[in-house]
Formats: sequence, structure tokens, C-alpha cells
Amino acid sequence: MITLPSICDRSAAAALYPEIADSLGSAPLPVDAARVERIGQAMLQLLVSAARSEGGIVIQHPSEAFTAALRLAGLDHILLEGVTA
Amino acid sequence: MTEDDIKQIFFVECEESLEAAESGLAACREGTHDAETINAIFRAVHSVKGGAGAFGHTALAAYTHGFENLLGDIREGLVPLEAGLVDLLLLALDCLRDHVEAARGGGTPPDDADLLARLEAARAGNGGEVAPPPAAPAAPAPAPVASDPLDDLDALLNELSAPAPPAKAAPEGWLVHIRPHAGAMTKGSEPLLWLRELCDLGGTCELCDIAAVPTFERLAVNEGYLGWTFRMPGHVTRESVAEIFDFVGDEVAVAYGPEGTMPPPRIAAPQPPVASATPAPAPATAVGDAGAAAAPQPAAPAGAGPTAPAAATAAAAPVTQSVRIDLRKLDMLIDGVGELVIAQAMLAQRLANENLAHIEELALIETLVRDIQEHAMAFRAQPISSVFGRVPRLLRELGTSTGKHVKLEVFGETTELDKTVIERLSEPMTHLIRNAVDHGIEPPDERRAAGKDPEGTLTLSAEQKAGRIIIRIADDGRGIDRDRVLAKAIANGLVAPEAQLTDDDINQLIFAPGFSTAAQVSNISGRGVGMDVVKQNVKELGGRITIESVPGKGTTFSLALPLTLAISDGMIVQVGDQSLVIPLTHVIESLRPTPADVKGMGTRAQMLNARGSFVPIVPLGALTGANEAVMNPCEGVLVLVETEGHGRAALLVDSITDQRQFVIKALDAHYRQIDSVAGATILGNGKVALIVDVDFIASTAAHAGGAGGMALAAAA
Repeated sequence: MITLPSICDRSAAAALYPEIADSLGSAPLPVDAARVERIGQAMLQLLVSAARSEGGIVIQHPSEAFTAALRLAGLDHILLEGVTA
Repeated sequence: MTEDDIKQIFFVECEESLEAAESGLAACREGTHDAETINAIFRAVHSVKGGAGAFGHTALAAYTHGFENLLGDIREGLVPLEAGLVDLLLLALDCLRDHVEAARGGGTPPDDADLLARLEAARAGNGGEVAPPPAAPAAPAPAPVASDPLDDLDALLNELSAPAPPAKAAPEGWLVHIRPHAGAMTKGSEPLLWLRELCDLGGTCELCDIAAVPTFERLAVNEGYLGWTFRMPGHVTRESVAEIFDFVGDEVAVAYGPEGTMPPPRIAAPQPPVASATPAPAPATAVGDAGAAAAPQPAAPAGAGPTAPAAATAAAAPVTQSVRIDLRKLDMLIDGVGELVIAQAMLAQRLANENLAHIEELALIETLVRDIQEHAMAFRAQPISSVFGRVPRLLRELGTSTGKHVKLEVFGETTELDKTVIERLSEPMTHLIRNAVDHGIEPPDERRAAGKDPEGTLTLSAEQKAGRIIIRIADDGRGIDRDRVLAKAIANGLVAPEAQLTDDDINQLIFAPGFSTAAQVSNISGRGVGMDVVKQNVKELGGRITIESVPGKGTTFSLALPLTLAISDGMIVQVGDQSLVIPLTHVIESLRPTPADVKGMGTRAQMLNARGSFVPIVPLGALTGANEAVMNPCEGVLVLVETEGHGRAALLVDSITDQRQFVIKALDAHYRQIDSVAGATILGNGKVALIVDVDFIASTAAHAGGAGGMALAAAA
């Protein structure tokens, strides 16, 4: 289980990269997005890449800000399919 | 480019934004508040805010945030735009201007707490429809400042998540493709903010291109892998979209056009750096610098999916692009062109000496030089609207301090003139306008009593006429009280009591240093500094100022200014042993009169009968003191010239030798200012020729009724 911080900027993405890399595996990796208040491109593409890698990810409890950012960036259908609220 | 340079650009853009907002609000005041106008105002304020945040001008950014909130609500239709609100917005714009000035000069920002409260109150008065609370921080708390670009995103996300955006009609509009590169995320910017701006303009995300996103182990956090296609509504211009990316430089590729024109990603090395315990290859580069260091590799369209064809990055869309150039560089170019003109004249002279004056190559060079010169001059040309645009605020301030509300009418604001002229025009214009409102336009009661509209009207116009720009500043006030002006001038000892002055002479007295008829010295005008400064300013620009005034009807000041200060067309004439240049803009025709056309007047003066009207003949030989000049009009050539304000004159010269471009060299810089000489130039044979000040000569001729014995010091 990976928990996204409230500020998902570039440095947060860099910090999270090894953690996700370690955790990706055969089953979808749960990623908790409940605390996200802000998110930038670096984190979004990190998530897209993780989602397209082996095993993939599944977003859990997306915050409103998170959902809105995905909608803005046109990534909602890619990252938010089959999401558990 | 240093940060200072970029800041400089920011402030230039602030000026432009403020002007755009000003003209938008002016349109609103006239009753035009369609979506595009309001959008333009919003964008203008928004772009000031963006830059202010980026450069750490916290007070400015906080203020613009409050201002923008209200504009946002107006745009959404939550707050109706009524006349009172327009006034408040204008007030807010004035304050914004002060904020920008403070940020530019490092001064103290104006006290905006009261105004921000009023803006917030205006927002709250939106019929109970309170906007989503998180988007309304408005209070002077510096919280909403975009020190971190993600801050802005916050408000955006709230906006987006609250009410659903209005449904857009799908297939209309046009497409813009954005591909942020590595630097777009590493240099303090955030691509999602641009997406937000696109949304603000009414765009919708059609597609997020994730084809370039690699699998996780190959991912580099600092690279830009995503690309977006946004559909913009048809009424949004490309320029307004391009503006969003103005600050970004080449860190983002933007393309316009149909699907499939998405620029390819620009990803540096095949293998990512990043991170410790990854199975990925050795972490060669530190995370922080990776993106920046790895930027300018040419784009190998890695993983180019169907949406990222190898179509060139530049995505040749026919967009008008602009480049900002340091003015000094431009001036160097203009100077160079000036020298080129002289060199070409010398070449022509040399060839003429060899009997090769009419070779084709010379004509070609002449054409090319002229083209280059015209283009170089066009670089410096700016519309006069940048001066006119400041007038509404001036009138508002004057309205507050004098109680006289003045309508503004503007004509010809797209007329272009040289940047130097524009810059130096602002001061005299301000004086003239203050003067018009303070002295010219009567208080409302007096106007009503005179049967006039209680609101005065100030008319500004600009037009190009006979190679000059004529700017008129007209009021519909009481006109110049010539009796009072004369009495005052006599009292001040400016004029002898027995002097006989024409109306025009009396008008001109108001330009005398230390002259003021204002009964009271106000803080606006009346100190008698000003009008003489105005005249001096205009004269320094090579211009003339004339006054027309009708008692009870109003006063018009006309400024006649040269189009450019550097190069002009002229007629080269021979007078005795001297060559002189007559600026072509003044020349109407040249002729050799018959004895019947010349009439004597008095003992010395002669007049030319030019098709029924009599024109004073001015022998240039007498003025220059040139040796052996022709003095009999029937033996020489008369060049008929026309001037603004002083009518016509016929200049007697020996012969006309050439007509060509000449480079104006100011005489006062090398020698001293001489009446009747406008400057000097270097001829093709390397000799200096004086440029005749036609206005001055015509005015003396008009006064003296012929050759006024103005001895022209022969500086050549």
C-alpha cells in the first residue's frame, strides 16, 4: 500500500519513485489518494507509468482535488477506472 | 537572458495587460460587456498575477488575486456587471497600476485593504449565490500568493470540483497540442497550470497522450512524457492561447491544427537516472539536476504512438510570432541604416563622376536601401494608443479632484509613430490634458448655464498627414480668454502694453515661461510651469504646436510631429556656393516664374502670384549669406513649400540638383541650435549641407511679408 502525500509535486514524485518501484508486482498495487490536495505533472505521469507497468496500480479513496486534477488532465479514465472510494 | 531581463519583460507585459484591461473596461462602460470583453479583462489581470507570483511580488499577487476573484465571478455571470461595478473595477485597475509601479520601483505597495474589501463586498452581493468558499480567500492575507506554482492549482481544483463546467458543444472550435518538456517542470513552473489557463479560456481536454510514458523502471521523474490536446472555442484567438506560454520559452512545444499534430516528446537519455534501490541501471545523475542537464537533446520520437507522428515539432501553423528586442540593438541597426544611406549616396556620386550614374545595379541598391530603411523604421513604430490609453485614468483622477467629469473621444489611435516620439510625447500630452480639464472645461453649473452638456468632452485624435503626425487635443470648454491672457502678459511684463498682437500671437503667449492666468494655483495646473515645457518638449521632437480657440466653444491644440527622427526625403538645392536640403514633406512644386508672376511689395519684398494667390518669396541666398546666389526669381527656381500653421512660401534657389534620402544629424549636438536650420546632413560628396527649417522660414516670411532679414549663420 502506497500513500500519496498531500502535496504531490516533483520532489514528492522523486521521493516516492523507489518505494513504488519496490512494491510493483504481480498484483495491482493499492495507492491511497485520500490526502492529496495538490498534484503536478511529475506525479501524474509517475502514476500513469506505474499503472501501465506489470501488475499496475489501483487508486483508493481519491480526494476531490485528486479527481479534479485527473479530470483536468484528461487522465480520469486511465487512472480512476474501477476505483474504490 | 538574466532574471532582470525577464523581470523587465514582465513589467513590459504588465503595461500591455493594464492597457488591455483599461480598454476592456472602457468598452464595458460604453455598454459592451460581451463574454470576450470580460474575458480579455480577466486574462489581463490574470497574467499580471501569474508573473507577480513567479517573481515574488507578494503584495501585487495578493491584490490581483482579490481583483481576479471578482472578475471571475463576473465572467461566470454570478455578479451582474452594472455601471457602478464598472467604476469600482476601474478604481481597482488604478490601484493595480500603482501596485505594478511599486513592484517595479521597489516602493511601498499602495494600501489596498479597503479596496479589496469593496471588491469582496461586490462579490458577496451576487444575489445569495455564494461562490464555493475555498476559492474566496480575498482578505489581505498573503496566503494565495503563487510562490509555489501548485498553489494556484489548489484554487483550480476547487473550482473544478465544485460546479460542473458548462457543457461544451463538441465539434466546434480548434485544437491546440501541448507537450511540456523536462524543463517545464524543473524551472519552477507547472504544466497543469497552463492546462488550467486553457480551461479558463473555455478549452476542454480532448486527449491526454500517454503513449510516451515508459514502463516504471525506465521512467525518469524529471522528464516530460505527457502531451495534451485541448479543444478551444472558436471565439478564442490563437494569440490568447499563445500568451499562456509566453513565459515558458522552449520548455514546451505548442502546436495548432488538426489531430495528429502533437509535437513529439523530447526525452533525454534512453535510461533514466533516479533513485537508489531500483533494479534500474546505475543512478548516474542526481535527481535534482537531471531534467535541466538533460534538456536539449533532439527529439527521438521514442515510442511514438498514433497520436505522435514524426511531424516536425515546429508544427508549422501560420501563427504571427513576435520577438522582443532590446531597443539599443534596434537603434544600432537604425544608425547602421543611416550610414548605409550616406554610403549609398557617396557611391552614387562617385559613379556619377565616372559617368555611370544610371547603371542598373545602383538603382537596385537604391531600392534595397530604401526597403531596409522602411523596415527598420517600422520596427520602431508603435501605435499611439499606448499614449492615449493612459488618458482615461488621468481623466478619472482629474474628475475626482476637480469635480469635472469629462467624456473622452479618441480617433486614430492605431496611427503609428516612432517609439522615441511616443515616449517623449506622454509628458506634454499630460500637461495639455490637465490644462484642458482645469482651465478649458467649465464646471458643470457654468456649462449648464451656457446651454452645454454638463459633462465636458475631450477629443484626442491622431492622423498621418503630409509625412507628419498630427495629434489634436480638443476640449469643448470656454476657450482661451484672450483679453485676460493679454492683460496678464502685460502685467507680467511679457508684452509691451502698446503692442499690437494677433489672436494667434495672444494664444501663443500661454507658452511663455512663467505664464499662468489661473486665479488660483491648484495642484493640477496654474503654476505656469508646464505650457512652456510642453512647447519645449514638442520642439525638441522636431514638432510644432498650434492653438485654435473659439471663445465659448473650446480650444484645440495641434501637435505636428515628424514620423521619425532619423531619415527623411529631401530636395537638394544649390544656393550660390552652398548646398541646402529642403525636406520633401513640405514641397508642393517647383517652378521658374515669368516676370509677370512676381510682384514687388514695399522696397524689398516680393510676392509670387501662384495661380491667383500671393505667396511671399524668400531668397534662401539672402538667408544663408551664400556668395553669388541668384536674387532675381526669374533667373532661379522657386520651390513652393507649405507648412502647418504658417501657410505657404516660395523659396528662391539657384537650381535643384537632386532628390534623395538624407540622414538628419542634429546641429545643436555638434554646434548650436540655429533658427531656420533644422539640422544638417552629409551629402554624397562628403560635404555637409544644412537642412532648411521650412516652418520657421515660412513663419518669418509671413510676419515680415517677405524676406525677413534673418541672417542664417553659415555653419557649413
